[in-house]
Amino acid sequence: MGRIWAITWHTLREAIRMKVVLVMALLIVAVIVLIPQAVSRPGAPTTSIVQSFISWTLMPLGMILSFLAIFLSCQSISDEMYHRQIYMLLTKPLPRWQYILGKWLGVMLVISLLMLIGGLIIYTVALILAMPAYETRIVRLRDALDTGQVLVDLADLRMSGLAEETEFNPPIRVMEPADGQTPLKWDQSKARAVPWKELAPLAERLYVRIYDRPNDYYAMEHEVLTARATGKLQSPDFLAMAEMRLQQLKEQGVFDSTKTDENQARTALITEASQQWRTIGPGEQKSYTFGQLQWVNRSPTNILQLRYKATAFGYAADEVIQSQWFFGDPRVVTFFGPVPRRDVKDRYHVIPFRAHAVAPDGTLMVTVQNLDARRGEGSRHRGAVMNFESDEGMEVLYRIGSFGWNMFRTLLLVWCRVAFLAAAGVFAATFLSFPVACLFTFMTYILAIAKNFVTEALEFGGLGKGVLGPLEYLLKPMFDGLFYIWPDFSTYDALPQLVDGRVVTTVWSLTGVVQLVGLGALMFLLLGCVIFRQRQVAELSV
Amino acid sequence: MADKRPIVKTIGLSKVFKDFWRRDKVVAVRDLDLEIQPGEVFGLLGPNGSGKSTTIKIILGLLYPTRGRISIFGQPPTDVSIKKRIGYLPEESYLYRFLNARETLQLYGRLFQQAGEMRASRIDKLLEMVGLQHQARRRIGEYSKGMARRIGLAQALINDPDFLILDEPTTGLDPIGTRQIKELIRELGRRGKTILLSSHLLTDVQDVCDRVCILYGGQVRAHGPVEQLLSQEDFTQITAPRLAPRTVEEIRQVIQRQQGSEAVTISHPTERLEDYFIRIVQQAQAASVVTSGAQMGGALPDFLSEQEGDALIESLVSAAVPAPVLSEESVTTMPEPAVSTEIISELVSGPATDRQSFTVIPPPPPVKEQVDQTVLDDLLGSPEDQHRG
Ligand SMILES: Nc1ncnc2c1ncn2[C@@H]1O[C@H](COP(=O)(O)OP(=O)(O)OP(=O)(O)O)[C@@H](O)[C@H]1O
Ligand SMILES: [Mg+2]
Repeated sequence: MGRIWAITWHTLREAIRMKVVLVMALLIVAVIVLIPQAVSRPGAPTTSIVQSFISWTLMPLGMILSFLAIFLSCQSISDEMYHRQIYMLLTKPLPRWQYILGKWLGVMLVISLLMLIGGLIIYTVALILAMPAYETRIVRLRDALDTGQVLVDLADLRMSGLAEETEFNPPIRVMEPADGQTPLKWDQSKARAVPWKELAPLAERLYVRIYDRPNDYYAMEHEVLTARATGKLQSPDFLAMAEMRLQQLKEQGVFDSTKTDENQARTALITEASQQWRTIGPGEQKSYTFGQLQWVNRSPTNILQLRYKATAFGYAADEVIQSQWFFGDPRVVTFFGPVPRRDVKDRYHVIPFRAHAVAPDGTLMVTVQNLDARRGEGSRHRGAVMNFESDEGMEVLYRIGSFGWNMFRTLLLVWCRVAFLAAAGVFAATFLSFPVACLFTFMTYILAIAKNFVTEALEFGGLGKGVLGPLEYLLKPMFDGLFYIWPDFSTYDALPQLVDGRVVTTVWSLTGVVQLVGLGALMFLLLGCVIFRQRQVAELSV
Repeated sequence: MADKRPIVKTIGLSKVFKDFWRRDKVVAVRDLDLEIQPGEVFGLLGPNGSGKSTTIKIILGLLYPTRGRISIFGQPPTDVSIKKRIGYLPEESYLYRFLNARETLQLYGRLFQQAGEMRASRIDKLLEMVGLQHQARRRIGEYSKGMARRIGLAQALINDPDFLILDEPTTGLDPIGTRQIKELIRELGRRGKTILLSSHLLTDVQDVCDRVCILYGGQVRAHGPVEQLLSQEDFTQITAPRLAPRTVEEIRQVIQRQQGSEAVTISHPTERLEDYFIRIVQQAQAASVVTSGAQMGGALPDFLSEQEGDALIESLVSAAVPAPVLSEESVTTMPEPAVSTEIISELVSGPATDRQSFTVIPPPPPVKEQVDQTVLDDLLGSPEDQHRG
């Protein structure tokens, strides 16, 4: 262990002394400073500024570190061979595998150091950029209640009026001006907590703190700087439904199997059934069930989100769909609602609701009522039909972790990819000269990034009919084998999830650790050791 | 050192360097049988390219033999555990330019897993031994060749090796350093260490080595204890503290009286191994032994024309003056060479008072000893200065 550490520390020190770390750190800082300015649009909402900042800095950070890993891993071994300093190391009691491992660890130490610096800066700057959304204002309690504002330190006032919520909501912090003047500055030590029940008569006198830009605040806190898991919509068995309908049609004598192909009809019926299931006619209502919510904290103070996007067929005034929502199965749990909504069609909207609507078995029933009804007798307006386009058209989101740890897990996946590349570089450097080793590792990188694309390209065209003729029968299994073990970097890219405030699960990042480091990197390092043991380091190396 | 098994033993060792197509290119070592006994100082001699360094690299496991067998401390060279007992100074200094002397030694010390305190004290002592304790904080990249070599020597000793391999240890060292190495080898030999020494300084080899082996073309041409190789039965050598001419004369007369022989030469014994070496190499060459190394140098190539010594220097000097050392503007503003030299001297020496000492450079006046002296004085400090300092 001491020897491996000696090599590791030496590699790190080399990178520091050769100014690699300094220059790279400056480059990363430059990227973090310059990119947000290039992508920022004036007047954009704070959330989109923060989101584009995160994605436009983490992506280049990953790329810079990948390139650096390729370069460093190839260089630090090739250079020692070329300048023969390796003679001095391998004539000490240092097994060759320890040398290889020490080098890889050294490179990864450099990478980790830079990743830590970059990650911390990006995290801090993201929080600073998000600050405007958290700005607060002090207003009279009465005004806050009337306009349904979001109170600081408290659940969402928009969700309902004061009276019904007393049993769930903790006391709220208020300030009472001593001299009868509006307090200008919030002083947490002077604020006192008052139970909701007692608030109503005092509403004129008391002051509360509200978020200055409640929509920005809400989106930032609950849709960006968070880690949310999803409950999935459970669709019914459309095939069975189609089968039943088919049977019905046959019995009614409408369907003649001699004239129409039964399979085609079945497919059509499946499509029809699923369309019907996603569609709510004017004035109608429909219930949907979500599963996989067993991890949700079902306390009523916990707020969940329903995210949906609906389109409207037929006439919808101002492109707005009017609807009313109920959460929870009234037979099983306290249900929550009705929540009236007026939402623009074809856009995503988030409806907050209380977690006690979730049933103990982890399912949630959601009932949607389409309020866009016919406008009176004889009106030509027939009301709009509401339709949730796909499975992503409706999902339940709940907070499961913090943004910080989510970012950590995202970076862990980046680290794993870089670790894989560094191992590939170390492997290549055991038998290739610096430029060739670099090229090899770079190709590894490209192939791993574009695996999807390349696989498709290779599968194009029939076997044995290509330029290579029958040779393809030989090459195909080789390619297949290679592609089977070659990792697909895009499956370890958690950035879209992070930016969208969705959880990057621990399982996911552990999969990355196991597959990219435990299997991929280890394979390269083992191969490297095997080759390096055969290698006569004093043979001519150019 | 009770066990008398050889430290290094090779049987029929051969090393063939192949080219890209695996064709034999160079036979660097050919059927080498070598035995180095514990406690001996073994000299590996041979002309350039005769396979000395290659043999050493095979012993260290940096190269693998093509044929034959080799064992070190009874193990194959790839065995890592034996490396604890080996110290190696390569033929050139392969050190890290970005580390200072102390860090360098620390790195190698760590590879022996030495405890921190012991390592530090050893490093201090080694730095003192090689005379670099005051330069220990400077980067090796700044070191002169000989200084780097000294660090190389220090790292070879950091593990207190039982077996020390020195590949041309004295290259680049000043005479004092060379002397020190010689003393060091002797002292280590006295302490029972085994030393493999490759060197071209035959005088020194003769002084310190118990046994030598002369390679040519990768083959052993001669080997054995030094005295045995050099002792010529027909001659007798008298070694004594420097004798007065009168004593020498007397000895000569005694010998003549007793043996009636005229063939008495009295000289220093230093030439002896050198003579022997050259004889062996010449023999090998005469027997047209194949070598992939250097042949004995031949006559001067004929394009090196003969010139009067003075004229040669003069032409070199005059050629040097108009050389475009100056920046463009100074050339255009001051076309006179006399002025340019002034600029040069100003640039070089700074204060105007020193200018005269550099007037040696311009062509016409030939180099005067008088002037030379002042230059030297300026550079080294005048003798009086040195006394004062
Ligand atoms: N890596 C190599 N590849 C090909 N040939 C080599 C290599 N190393 C050494 N040789 C050849 O092997 C022969 C022996 O070289 P070696 O370095 O052992 O000589 P040496 O006796 O140490 O010479 P010197 O006195 O100049 O140090 C030479 O002909 C050399 O060209
Ligand atoms: Mg040599």
